[in-house]
This record gives sequence, structure tokens and C-alpha cells, in this order.
Amino acid sequence: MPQTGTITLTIDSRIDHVFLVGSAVNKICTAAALSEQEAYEAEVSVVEAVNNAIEHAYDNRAGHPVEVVVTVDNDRIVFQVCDWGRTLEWTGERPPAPIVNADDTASLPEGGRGLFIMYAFTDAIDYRRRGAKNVLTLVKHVPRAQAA
Amino acid sequence: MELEQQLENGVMRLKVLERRLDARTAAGLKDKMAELIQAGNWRIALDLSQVQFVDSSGLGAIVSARKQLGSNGDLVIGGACDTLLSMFKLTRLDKVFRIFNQTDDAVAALRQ
Repeated sequence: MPQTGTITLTIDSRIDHVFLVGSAVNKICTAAALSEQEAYEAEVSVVEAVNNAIEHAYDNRAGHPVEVVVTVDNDRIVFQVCDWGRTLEWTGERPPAPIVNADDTASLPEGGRGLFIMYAFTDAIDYRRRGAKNVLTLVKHVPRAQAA
Repeated sequence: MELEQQLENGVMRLKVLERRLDARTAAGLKDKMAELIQAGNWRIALDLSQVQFVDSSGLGAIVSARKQLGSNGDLVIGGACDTLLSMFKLTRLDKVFRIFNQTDDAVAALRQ
């Protein structure tokens, strides 16, 4: 029988604490029968979301909570990344794949890949303001054979 | 940021000794590579064999070094595990960097 349940992970809004959430998410995904690659994809997606909350919602200021609610269901794992900072502009549009010209490294952007990674490595993504709280929801499906 | 550097026949082998190349550690790698490039190291083999996690910040630090090198130098990757490779492929940075299974092969490629 598949294991189900919910856990809430809370860290202070410090970049050097994000590994705690990432490591926990990876272990939870592995326990929920995701492959090593799928667990990595979930981990990096949640880490990008938490980084965004710290950098943009809280302007890199420590002393604020970032909460990650992980719900393991029969066929999916849902991650809700919550902050109580500034609400981000959200179009809901999937970012295009990066354009890379190996002959023109000067034009390569150093940043801006986080949202693309989240979209690519999860099955659904949503961002909403709920009262004073911003909630970024990421969904990762558990493949049927693995969920059974 | 813990790094190990070794100059081999004009090639700088730079090994990342951290398990995570993320927003916490990326700035340290970026600064170190900038320092090495400014000191005249134009050929760098970045050894990622100890790294188990990279996020967009870590990729950004590596891209920053590549941009500084421009057409005068080269930066190649060695020892990356499958999950790290998936990040390079997803972001198409595998089109920018030559990636080798073994760092020794990465160093050898820069000697040629």
C-alpha cells in the first residue's frame, strides 16, 4: 500500500539554510518511490522556489519564515512553498527554452534559469496570494508503476 | 567554498570539494574562477566529481567564468554525475561546455 502523509518544513529566510529543505525533499521523494533522477528534479525545483522566496519576496533579508508543505499522495507529491513577503509578478506562462549560441558566450545570461527549471522538472506549477501568504505550488507525479 | 587547484602544463585543474553547488556556494566558486582568470589561467578544467547537487546559481557561476574567458580561453567540465548532467542538458549548457566523464580526460583535452 502506498504511503501518504504531509510534513511541514520551515527554515529562516537564509540562503545557507536552503540545503536543509532540499535534502529533506530528496529523501521524502526517494521514500515515496521516485527514482534518483526524479527525486533530484523535485529537490532542485523546490530549492529554486525557496531561493526565489528569499531573494525576491524577502530581498535576501534573514529573520522571516519560508515554509515548505510536502504532501505525499498516492500518485503525486505536492510541494507548497510559502512566504509572507512581497508578492511576485506571475504570468503563469511557461518560460521558453534557453537560447544558447556556443559561438557567442558573451551573450549567455548568468541567471534567469530558475523558473524554467521548475517548469521543466515538475508536472504542474501555480502561484497564488492567499491572505498575507504567497504560495508557490509544485506537483510531481509518481509514475504508476512506482506508485503501485 | 572549498576548492583544490592544481596547475598541470598550463591547464588549471579546479576541483570543487563541496557536495552542493548552490546559492550558498556559487559566489565562492565564481570569485575563485575570476581570480584565476585574472591571474592568467586561460584553460580551466572544472572537476565536479564531488558535487552531488547544482542549481541555477551554480550553473550561473560556471557561465560567468566562461564569459570572462571569452574566445581567448576555454573551460571544460569533468566528473559530473548523471543528475548534474541532466541540468546541463536541460539548460542547453552542454552545447557551451565540453563535458567529460573523467577530469583527467578534460585536462588532456585542454592540453591539445
